[in-house]
Amino acid sequence: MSYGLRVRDALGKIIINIADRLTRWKWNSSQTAGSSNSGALSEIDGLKTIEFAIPVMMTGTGIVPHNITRSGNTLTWTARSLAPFFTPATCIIYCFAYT
Amino acid sequence: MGYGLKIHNAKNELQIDGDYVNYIYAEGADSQSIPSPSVPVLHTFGVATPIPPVILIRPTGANGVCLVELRYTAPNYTGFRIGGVANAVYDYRVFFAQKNISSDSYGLRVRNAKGESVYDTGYQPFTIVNVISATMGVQYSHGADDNKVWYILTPLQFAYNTTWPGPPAPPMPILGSASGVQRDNATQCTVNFFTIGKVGLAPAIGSGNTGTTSNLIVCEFDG
Repeated sequence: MSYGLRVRDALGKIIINIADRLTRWKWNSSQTAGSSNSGALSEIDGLKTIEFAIPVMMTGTGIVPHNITRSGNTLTWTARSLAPFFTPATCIIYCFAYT
Repeated sequence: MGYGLKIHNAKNELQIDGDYVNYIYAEGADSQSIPSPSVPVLHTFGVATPIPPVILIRPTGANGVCLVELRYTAPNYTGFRIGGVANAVYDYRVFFAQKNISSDSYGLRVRNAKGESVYDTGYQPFTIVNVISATMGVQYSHGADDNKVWYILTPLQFAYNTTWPGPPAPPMPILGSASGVQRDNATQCTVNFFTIGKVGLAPAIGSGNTGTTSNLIVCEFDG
């Protein structure tokens, strides 16, 4: 392989190798409990991404995170619950590109 | 991109990106455990952050664990809670978005047009290496270096189940479950429901769940 970048630290340890790839933070957003919506994200065009929702503890909200899907460059987040025991959570939605 | 630096490897995957601020290692701990009876464990950050953090977890045994929630007190994220099977043992790593340069005097540093640090060899980022569409109860090869493997499980799924022994006994309490990941061996893990305890008194027998599949995001981080 003769393409790419290799960087060593001061001790000579390789910290970037020529086959390594970088995971990049593309977007995140706070979504209130029970809300569902979608939005286009032009900067993910042509990239392999993963989207996920993590609950944030808020008074009066539940524990079930949103479900996130991607179609083209549009992300859709859908509130979920399992009444009456598991109610929707306020969430942070993250989007990372990883190739 | 009209500014900065971008480098691809031989597979045309990005190695260095001159645009986007990234998440870098902030803190972590090994050999944490879920108490018995099981209750989620609160971990508080050494330094709070206004930007949502990323938490990676790694079970070290055959009992499932999951990231239950982040803790937030305006304007900062202050910690998180890990849930799991009683006596489950796990490691965790916390990553913060970092816009400032490191103090290292050796290596490579890239800034974006705003002057923010977008790549700095003085920091340690995590790498997503695989995304597995996982079904509860199924074992998967994680496809990562076992010494570096970490997980994000999304979305969390929940379930309940109530049984009734029949008259004259009343229905049993409603038992709740949440999804988690457990380590099976050096190359394999399983995503499954684990019991989180009683969630109510039974008005009727039956069961339900929010879903039986989740994405298991497999990451690598050496540290």
